[in-house]
Amino acid sequence: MYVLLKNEEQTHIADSVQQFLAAELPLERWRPNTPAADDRQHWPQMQALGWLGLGIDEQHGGVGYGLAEEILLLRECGRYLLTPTFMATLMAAHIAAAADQRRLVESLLAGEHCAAPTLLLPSANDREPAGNDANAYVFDYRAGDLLLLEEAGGFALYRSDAIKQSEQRPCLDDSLALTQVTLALTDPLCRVSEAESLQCRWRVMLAALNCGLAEAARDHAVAYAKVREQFGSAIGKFQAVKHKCSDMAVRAELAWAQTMEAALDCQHQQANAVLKSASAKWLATDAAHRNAADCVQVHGGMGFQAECNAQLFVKRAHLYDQLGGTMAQQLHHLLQADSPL
Amino acid sequence: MDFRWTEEQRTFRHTLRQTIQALLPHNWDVISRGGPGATEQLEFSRDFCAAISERGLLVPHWPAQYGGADMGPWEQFILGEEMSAAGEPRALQYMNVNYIGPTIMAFGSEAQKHYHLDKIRRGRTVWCQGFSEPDAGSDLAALRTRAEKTGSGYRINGNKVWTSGAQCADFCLLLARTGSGKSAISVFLVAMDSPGIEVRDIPAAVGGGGFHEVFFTDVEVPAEVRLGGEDQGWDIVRYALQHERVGVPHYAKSGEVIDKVVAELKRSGEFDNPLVRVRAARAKAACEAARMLVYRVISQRAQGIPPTADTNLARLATIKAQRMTVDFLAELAPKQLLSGGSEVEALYRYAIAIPMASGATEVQLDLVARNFLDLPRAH
Repeated sequence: MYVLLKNEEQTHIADSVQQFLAAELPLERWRPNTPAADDRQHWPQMQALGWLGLGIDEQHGGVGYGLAEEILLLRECGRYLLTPTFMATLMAAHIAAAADQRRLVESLLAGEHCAAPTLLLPSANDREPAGNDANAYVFDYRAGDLLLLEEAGGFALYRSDAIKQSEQRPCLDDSLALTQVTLALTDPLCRVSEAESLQCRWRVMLAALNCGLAEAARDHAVAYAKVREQFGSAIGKFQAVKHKCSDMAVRAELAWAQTMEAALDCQHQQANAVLKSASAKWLATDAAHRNAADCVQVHGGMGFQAECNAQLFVKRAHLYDQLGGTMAQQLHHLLQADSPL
Repeated sequence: MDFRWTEEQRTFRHTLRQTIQALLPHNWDVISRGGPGATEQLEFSRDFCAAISERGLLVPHWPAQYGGADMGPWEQFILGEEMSAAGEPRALQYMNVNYIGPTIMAFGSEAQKHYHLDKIRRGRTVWCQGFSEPDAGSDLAALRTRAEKTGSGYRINGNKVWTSGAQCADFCLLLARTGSGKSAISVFLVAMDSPGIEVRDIPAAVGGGGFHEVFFTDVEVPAEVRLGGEDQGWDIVRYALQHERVGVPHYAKSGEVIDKVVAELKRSGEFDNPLVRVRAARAKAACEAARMLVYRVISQRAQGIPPTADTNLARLATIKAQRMTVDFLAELAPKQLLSGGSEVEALYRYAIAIPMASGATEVQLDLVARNFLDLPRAH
C-alpha cells in the first residue's frame, strides 16, 4: 500500500518551513539594488528549528524523522533557492553518521561546520595537476567549510586545508559564488565507499529541490499570466500560454509523486531504490529545466530582466542537475536497474 | 533548383573570414562577453565597422548609389553568417545595415537618405529600436508613446522598454502614435541627444545585456525627422520587420560551438559513446536544417519575391536549433556551462532571451497558423 499524502505532522513541517523561508529568505533577496543576500546569516535559526538534523536518527543526536520528512524540507528550500551549502550540510551529516563519526555529526548538527558541494573537473587538459591533486568547482564556499565530494561508489568529506589553490570565478548562476580550487585528495576527513543507499538518498534530496524549483517556476508563470494583459485580455486566456502553464503543472506533479515514492522506497530500503531514485532525479530535473524555461517565456521581455525570478530558476536548475549525477547518468542507472515488478 | 556557391561568393567568404580574424583584437573574448547590446562591444563596433567600411565590407549589399557594391541578398547573408559566427563584432550596427538603412532607402526623403545612409555606411553610428513599451510587447499595436503636432514639428511623450543599446545609441528608430485610430502610427528618426530623452538601465540577467528603458518627456523634434508619411508607420514597420525577422543567423554561432565541443569530446574519448554522437548529430542537423530554411527565404528575396510566412518558419527553426544546441552543451559540457566567461556559458545565457527577441515564439507560431496554414485569426 502506498500512502502518498502527508500526515498531520508532515503537513506541519512543510508549513513551518514555508513560513520561515517566505518571511526570512524571500526570492526578492536576489533583486538588483538590494543588499547582497546572505543565507548563512540564518544558519543559527535553521539550526534551532531542527532542520539540520531532521532526517538524522536520534542515536546520532538528530530529530529522528526519515527521508520523507527531509524531502518536504528540501522541496521548500528548492522553491526559495536556498544556498546549496544547506543541502550539502544535511548530506554531510548523513555521510558522517554512516561512517559513525559521532563528533563530526554533532558539529554539523550544531551548526559549527557547513559543507560546500564540490564538483570535480575532468582532468583532460594540459594543466592537469600532478599526483593526487584534482581541480574542482566549489559552490558558496566560505573559509573553513568542509568539502562534499561525490566519488565512484560513495562520498568523501575533506577539510578546507585540502585546498592548495583557489580562485573566485563568475558563475552562470549569479546567485551562487563559484570557487575553482586545486585539491589534495589524500587525506579525507570522512569517506564512505560502496554507499549505494546514501547515493539513492542524495538523488532523492536533489530531486526534491528540483521539484520545489519546478513548482515555484510554475507558480510564478501562472501568477504573471493572470495579470499581464496583451491584445485586450490577460495572456493566461490564450491557449498558447494557458497550455504551457498546464504542462508545467503536470511535470511538477508527476516529478513530486515519483520523488515521494522514491523517498519511501529508500527509507524502507526497498530493492528498487536505485531505479526509483534515479527516476525521481531525472523527472524532477527535467521538470525544473523545462518549467524554468517556460517561466521565462511566459514572462516575455520581463523574463530576462534581473528583477524577475524566472531567470534564477533556469540557472539554478543546472547545479542541481550536475550534483548527484546528470540526467544522462540517471538514464544509465534506469537502464541498469532490475525491473521493479 | 541549384545550390552551389559561386567562385566569387567563396572568395567573398574567405576574404571576410581573414579580414575579421585580422581585425579582432586579442582580448575579443573579453570585449564580447556581454554580447552585441553591451557597451564594450558597441563602442568597439565603431572602430570595427569603420575599418570594414574602408574595405568595402560593411554595406556591400547596398546599391552603389548609396555607397554599396550592388551585391545581392546572398552576399548580405554570407556577411551575416561570418559576423555572427565570430560573435558579431558589428554589435547592433548589424541592424543599421540589414534593415534600418534599407528602410530609410525605401521610405526616406532625399535629405534623410543623404544624411543617415552616409553616416551608417561609415560605420561609426549606433542605432536603437524604439518599438516595445511596458504594455505593448507582443501586442505592438497597443503602443502609447505619442507624437503631437506642434507648429514646426512634433512633441514626443512616452516610454519604451527592452531597448538594446540605448546607452550608446546616436539615433532611435522610434514608433509613436500620431492620431487616435489603431493605425495612426508614424516612424521617427530621433537623435538620442535630443533634450528630454532619458535612458535608464534595466539590469539584465541573460542575453546580450544592455537593456534599457527610454523615457521621452516633451521631446521636440522637427517635422523632417518623420520617416515616410504621417500614419504610414505600420507599412514601414512591416517592411523593416520582414528584413529583421529572418534576422540573425544564430545557427552559425551554434554550429561553431558544437564543432568545438565535439573536438573536445573526441580528445577525451567521450565521443566514442554512441549516445553522445547522436545528441551532437541531432543538434548539428537542426542547425543545418535551420540554415536551409533561412536560405529559402534569401532565395526568394534574391528573386524579388515578396516575403511570405516562410520567414516565420525559418525564424522558428533557428530558435529550435539554438535550443537543441544549448541542451546538448548543457549535457555534454556541463562544467563549462557553470563557469562564467566560457563560450558555452555565454551562448547559453544569450539563448535564454532569443525566443523573445523580434517577436515571441508564440507570435511567430500564430503567424504561421494564420499565414501559412490559413487558420482563422484568434483575435
